[in-house]
Amino acid sequence: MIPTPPELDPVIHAQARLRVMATLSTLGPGDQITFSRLQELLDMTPGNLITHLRKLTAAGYVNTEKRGGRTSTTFVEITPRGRSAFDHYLAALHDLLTPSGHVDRVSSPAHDGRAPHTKEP
Amino acid sequence: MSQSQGVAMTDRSQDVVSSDPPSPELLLALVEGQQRRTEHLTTPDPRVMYGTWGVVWFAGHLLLFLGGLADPLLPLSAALAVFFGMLVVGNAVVGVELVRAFHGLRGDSRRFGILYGLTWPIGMTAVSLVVVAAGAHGLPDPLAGMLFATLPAVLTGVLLMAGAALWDSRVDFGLGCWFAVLGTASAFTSPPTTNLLLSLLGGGVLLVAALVAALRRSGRPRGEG
Repeated sequence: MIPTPPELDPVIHAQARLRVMATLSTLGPGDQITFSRLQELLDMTPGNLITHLRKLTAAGYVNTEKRGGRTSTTFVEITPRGRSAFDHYLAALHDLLTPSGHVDRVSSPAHDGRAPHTKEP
Repeated sequence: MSQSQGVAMTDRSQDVVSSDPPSPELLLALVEGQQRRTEHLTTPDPRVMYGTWGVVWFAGHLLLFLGGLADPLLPLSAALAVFFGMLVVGNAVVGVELVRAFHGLRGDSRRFGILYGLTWPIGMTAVSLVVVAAGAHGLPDPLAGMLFATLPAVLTGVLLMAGAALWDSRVDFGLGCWFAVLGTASAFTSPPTTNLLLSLLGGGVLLVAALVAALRRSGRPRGEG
């Protein structure tokens, strides 16, 4: 694993989880997606996706919910905290592209995912 | 497939294990590619939506025009039968596309999409039945034919503009304005000229919209889709 620059949330700073967050954040607020459809959109193996969803769930960025009886379906959604953390992560990436902009950037939003996303000019 | 989509697909699901950290540019491209892929696969494809109704309007009204000529190229009843058949097939194609886009999703976006999608066939059926009722009340055939062609065009304009407001789409708002104007203007003509106008300027415009959507999706890395 590469070292994570201090500005970048280590939970999101893995390409697989970054893609999961990009997918879930594209859905509308409150929208949920089944595990199998998410897997299809990501082109991931079930085992891989489960592993990454566990890490994102542990960080409070993603919720999973099982519904139904014997043939239960798992629904996945991004949490407001996860959406905020993802916005911060993208802002930090943009700051890295324009070095002058990231001087004032607070550290990883992983510990404070509710901080508002401030847009850079 | 765009370059960034290629990045999204080829990186699959592995953590970052390379000794060289991925650049912010690559990570942003990864995000954009995946967001675009998600948006494309979870929203109704504009190529299918515009294309389907473009074909129905263009070919259907062209047949009604040819069947309504003083020296008709085919019986008007046959043209009407084909037109209704195309409407049924068009609704089926659009229904399948909505199911494809929304399967596995739950929440407001899917609910709004389904309700909006149902508004079309219900609205069109209601408007058409009103014209049928007007005919039963003694409205002359040429007038009924004009209303049967133009009222759906006006309703199409209104629904496109309403959808544009819901999903913030300038393209749909522009198309909606166009159909409202076209439906109104063509009401000052009589069939079969009315049908020719709706075929060329209604169906034709929808086919152009489908073509533009196809070009945007295949050509530009950041198309609206």
